[in-house]
Amino acid sequence: MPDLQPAEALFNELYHRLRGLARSHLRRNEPITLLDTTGLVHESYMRLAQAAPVPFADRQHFMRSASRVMRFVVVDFIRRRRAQSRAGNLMQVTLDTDLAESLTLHDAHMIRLHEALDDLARIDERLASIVEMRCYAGLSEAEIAVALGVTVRTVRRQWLKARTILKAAME
Amino acid sequence: MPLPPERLARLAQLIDELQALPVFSRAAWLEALVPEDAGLRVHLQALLGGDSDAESNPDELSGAAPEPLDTLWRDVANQAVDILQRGPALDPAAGQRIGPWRLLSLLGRGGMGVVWRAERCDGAFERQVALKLPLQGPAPARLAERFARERAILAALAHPNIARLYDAGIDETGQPYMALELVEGEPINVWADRHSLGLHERVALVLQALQAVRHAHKHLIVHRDLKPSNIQVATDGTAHLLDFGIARLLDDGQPGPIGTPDRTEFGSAAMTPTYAAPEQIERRPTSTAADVYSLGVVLYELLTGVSPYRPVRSGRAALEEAILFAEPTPPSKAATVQAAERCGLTLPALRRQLQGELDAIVLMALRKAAAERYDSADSMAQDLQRWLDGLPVLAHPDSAGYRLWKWLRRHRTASAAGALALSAMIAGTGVALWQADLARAQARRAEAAAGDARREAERARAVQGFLIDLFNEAGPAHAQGRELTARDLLARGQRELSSRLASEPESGAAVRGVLIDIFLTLGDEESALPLAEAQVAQAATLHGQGSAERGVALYQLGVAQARHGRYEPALSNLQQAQLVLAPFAATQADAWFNLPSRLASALGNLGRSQEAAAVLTEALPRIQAHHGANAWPVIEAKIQLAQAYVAEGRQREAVALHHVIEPLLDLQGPERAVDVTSARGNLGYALWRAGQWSEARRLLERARVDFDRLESPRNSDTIRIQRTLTRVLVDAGDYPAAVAVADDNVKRSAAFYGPADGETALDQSFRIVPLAMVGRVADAQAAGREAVDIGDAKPTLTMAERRGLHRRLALAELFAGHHQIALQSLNKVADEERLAGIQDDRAAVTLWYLSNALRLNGQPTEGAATASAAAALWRKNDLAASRNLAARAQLSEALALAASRQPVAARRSLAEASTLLRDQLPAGHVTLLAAELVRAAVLRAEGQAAAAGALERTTHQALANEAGVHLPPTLPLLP
Repeated sequence: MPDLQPAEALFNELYHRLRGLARSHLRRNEPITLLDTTGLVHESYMRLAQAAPVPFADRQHFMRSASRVMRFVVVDFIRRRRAQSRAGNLMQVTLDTDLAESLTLHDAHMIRLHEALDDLARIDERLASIVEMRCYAGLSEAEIAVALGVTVRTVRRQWLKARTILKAAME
Repeated sequence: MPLPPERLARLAQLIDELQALPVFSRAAWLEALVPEDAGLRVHLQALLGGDSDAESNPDELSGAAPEPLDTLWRDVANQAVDILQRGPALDPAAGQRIGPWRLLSLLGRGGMGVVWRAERCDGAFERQVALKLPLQGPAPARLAERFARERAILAALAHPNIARLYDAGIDETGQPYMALELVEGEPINVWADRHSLGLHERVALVLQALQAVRHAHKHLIVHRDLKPSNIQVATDGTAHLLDFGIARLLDDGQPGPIGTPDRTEFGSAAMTPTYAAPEQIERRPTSTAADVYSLGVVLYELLTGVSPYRPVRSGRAALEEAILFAEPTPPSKAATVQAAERCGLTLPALRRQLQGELDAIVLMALRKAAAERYDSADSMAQDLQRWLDGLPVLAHPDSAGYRLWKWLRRHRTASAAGALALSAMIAGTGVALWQADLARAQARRAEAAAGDARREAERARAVQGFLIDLFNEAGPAHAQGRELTARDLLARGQRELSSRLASEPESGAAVRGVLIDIFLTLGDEESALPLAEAQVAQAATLHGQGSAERGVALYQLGVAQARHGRYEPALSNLQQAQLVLAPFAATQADAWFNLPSRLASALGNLGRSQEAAAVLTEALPRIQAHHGANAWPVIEAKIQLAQAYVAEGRQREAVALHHVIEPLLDLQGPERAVDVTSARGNLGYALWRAGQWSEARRLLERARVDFDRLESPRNSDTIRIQRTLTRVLVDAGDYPAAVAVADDNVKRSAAFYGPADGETALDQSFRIVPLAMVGRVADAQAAGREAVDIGDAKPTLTMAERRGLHRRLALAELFAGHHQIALQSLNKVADEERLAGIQDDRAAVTLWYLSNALRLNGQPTEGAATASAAAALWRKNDLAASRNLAARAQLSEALALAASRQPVAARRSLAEASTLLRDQLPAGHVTLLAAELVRAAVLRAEGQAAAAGALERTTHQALANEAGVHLPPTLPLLP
């Protein structure tokens, strides 16, 4: 595990900002895209770096931490939504049962992935980081390469490796 | 099938090998996999095409048709977004239901979760509450279990300065909730500043908070998250502490369920480090000392306007480091101009007032080591009160000797994760023994050879190390996500012991001595017994027959046997211990001065109460001279003596002694809580036997509440206490109350022992008499039959207990009008008792019931004789309780005589009984009223049917109205 010393502040920050963002998108009836989350990660970095320059000096470290936090935020959302939907309160979101069902399927998939990522991290911490940065923070291969201090080619190779292991872990 | 982790690791290795190969040779390599790895081939096939397929521009989210291989990550990305988008719909909304509560308006939002103003949906509770909805916590299943355990304890925490916890639970969606008293106020610091409180008023405010904390600590509840926002001051100036025990409700050593970030990273977001004690920062076990610390910080801020620490760097890490290592600036040096203004003082004046005593008090509360702080909220409160009263305070600067002393104190009060009980018993036994060892080591060092002293010191160190290990084991690092119970720790201790005994027999023996003591304190005689037996043998081998070590071992063995009900061998071992230990009285003070109580207890249980009283009367002055009048061993001996007096029929002396003992119980510290509560139970029992029912009831009711708090609602002590309480209530004639207690006890027994256990059967049968008396005859029968069904199938019950089940069922049948069945059954029980030569109270009860059964089966003459025999048995025991029972049996005799047309004899019997009863019972007791029914029967036998009928009518009515008693006209048994 990377040192997630500032993770708590980061978690709160990202959590609340993501919710705010999602709320405003929902009002305008637009979907969030990965670009939004990426922007959010970058923006949060700027804000946090201003507030506390020392612990966040390491931008690469931040990207890894933030991506992991995003993963936890996502899973936290799922957990809460599951609790909510069991209570039959999903109607605030949708009355479409097909969608509700597919949501649950997807949710289960995401939870499985979350667990598989834990397995992966135990084998190779960096592989898990790459998946987190790509899938949860929407970083490009080039950005990931910078964050990890490796070549894009290595990132690509590692990504394939990570994906193969994840698939095996989730099947 | 998903692959297990070890296969995944192998897969990772193979991928590395594969990726190192040129693309053209990969297929051949894959074919050539060894059989063990062949199963992984299917996963590796995706990589055959080399790394190039990753070049299909995966960074683009939409656009070109997705490569099949990329669907996984694309799905993930899309779904993550989808989830993020839908997240916000999850905030609860006004009007929503959470468990039985309806949300009204949002009160606040914090790192821990949200707080809503809420009300009961069903209107069952009028007040509005603050409903807390924590964000994260342990898995719902674990939480549910914990809530169930803690809720009762916290809900019972009643104090004017503590916001009540009304309800805590988990709704059907898994959302935990806690309903707390809604306090409309302001945080203590805001209130103090807005009202420009002076120094004295600020201290007085903190003192209020301390009273509440002290009360909670007395009930073994630690807050663990005290901070200004948790100390709200209402408009009338009363401080209310919020969230008592909540930290513990939610705290959890293990990572949360799927999707919950690891609590060690995120979960403590709620805990404000500013007010956290060093041990909390380090995630070591916390105790009451953490609350003292936090209140110290609050006081510091109230007095100076700033926090005790101002680290150079910002951020949590720096603050934590300061809390752990930096010395706080004395308040007098830290105070600011603004703070002075808010107190209505100039800065120099404020500093002058803070300097010295307030500095000392605050810094004492803020010591890094929990052991060096005030040893309780109470002593901090007392010191603040002394400051308010202008008296010199006790807080003093640190010193080496003081630290050593405090180290000992710490182990008395430290609360390892959930194991406050453990610390209490180590305080009572282990540390005492260790202290004795230390004292002995010091004493011997002065007079004996240096080698001897070294050996003692080594032994002391071994025990010390063992205890420290036990506490360390309680830390979260070792808990592996589970909350360790005291027993878990002991199991480890025992394993540890076997290795030590082999390599260092002497220190091993010392450790075993501590273990035995701890097991005994825990009430686990089964585990203590074999250890104690081994200890005796080894002490003889290592140190000789006449050694102090063997004496102590014999003492422990005797105690264990007595607890196990084996009084004969216990008595003999204790007597041997007395002989062996006599020359070592000074160095083995602990065992030596407890011996008389143990001896007396064994004697008393063997029916030799006169000797017991003699032993105690002789020993008490010695014990008192050694320990001081208020010390625990003295109290214990006095309780024993009171019991011996009761057994000897010396009621007046017993009651007088009780009045001496009871006030002393309140003086004991929380580490004695279990002993004190047992003592109240024992006193309650003694007072019942002495016929002091209202006193007995008060003590027993207190004891059961305390046991519930100390031991969780599932414990056998409360069941024991409630059995006595049921009998007290029956004797006192309060049958409705007896029904309630007996009903509750069946539930507890079923939960604790199991629904089909012999103990549960006993508790079922104890419902019969009160149920029958309040007219619930069918329920009494059902209880009796269930009890007998279970009890007859259980070899765990003694013969006497089984006879009890049949005796009481027979009574239920008698009430139900099944006179013949009852008579058969009672005859059988009476025959068995006669054959076994039993002549105790129970045999008397059988005869008493039997007399009524005989009368109702048309054999009144035999009935009268049998009642008279019952009365005679009771009279043999000159107890207050027996005396009134003898009189009640005589009432039955009078009834039988009246039924056999012997009005003269009946009247004489009635007159004797009435005199006795008026003498024994408090005015208005239900039996005095019931005696009127006997008078009516006599009147009827004398031919005055009209007067008899009228008297019967009014009496039945009075019984129903005044005592809730509904008797069948056949009068199967009088109350």
